[in-house]
Amino acid sequence: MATPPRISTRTKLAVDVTLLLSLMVVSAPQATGIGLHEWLSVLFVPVFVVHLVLNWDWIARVYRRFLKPLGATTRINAVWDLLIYGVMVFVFFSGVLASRAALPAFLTAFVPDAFWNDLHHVTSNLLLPLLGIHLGLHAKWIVRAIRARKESA
Amino acid sequence: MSVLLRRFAIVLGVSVLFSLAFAPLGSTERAAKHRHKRAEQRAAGQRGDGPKKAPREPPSAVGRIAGPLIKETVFMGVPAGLVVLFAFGVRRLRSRTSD
Repeated sequence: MATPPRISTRTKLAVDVTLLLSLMVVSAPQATGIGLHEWLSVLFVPVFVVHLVLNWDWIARVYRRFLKPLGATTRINAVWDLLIYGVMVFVFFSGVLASRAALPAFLTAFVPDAFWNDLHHVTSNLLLPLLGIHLGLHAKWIVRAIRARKESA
Repeated sequence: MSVLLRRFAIVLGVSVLFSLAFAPLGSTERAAKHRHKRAEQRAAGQRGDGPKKAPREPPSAVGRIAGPLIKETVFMGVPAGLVVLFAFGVRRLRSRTSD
């Protein structure tokens, strides 16, 4: 079995900053316009997947040991991250079904759904505080990673 | 490389499964009622007998960009700050009780 490549904190931090900035851009359809919002969201998905893949070791370790004794902070993080993942997938999914620009460009017969559109709006707004709490829970790691980056520079 | 590809595939596969789990929501009675209500609202708006809204001035270019940015910063920043404060408080309380 091939060994997984070791991913540096620097790389993870760079991806996380990109993810946060791109999330802030895609969460502002009023600023970008619906068309750009949808196309940027399509580009946002791979960044989100890369974030998960880079943190794979932690995810695998925690969920494998979830039913065994585990620190309270780690357990809270694990549950919260799963919740965010679920909401994020829901936002993508509802966004696709409510698409007014990207999907109709390929499927001319596609009609955006008002039900999914409203759910997309509500859940994407809900996602922001969920992510805020996620950032707060990982604040220690973020501060440490930024300090390490500054020291190595 | 194959390890990373396998992980990508797993993430995408699980995401598709999650999406399939959400799909039945769209065929519920609640969803149908919601669509009906929105269609009625749209029709009323086109007829001009819907609820009258006071005309609003379109936001300036700066407002269009700054508005959502402020909203996002507050929506994410406040919960993040509260969690950091809470964790700090818990750590201090723990260190005091252990003294």
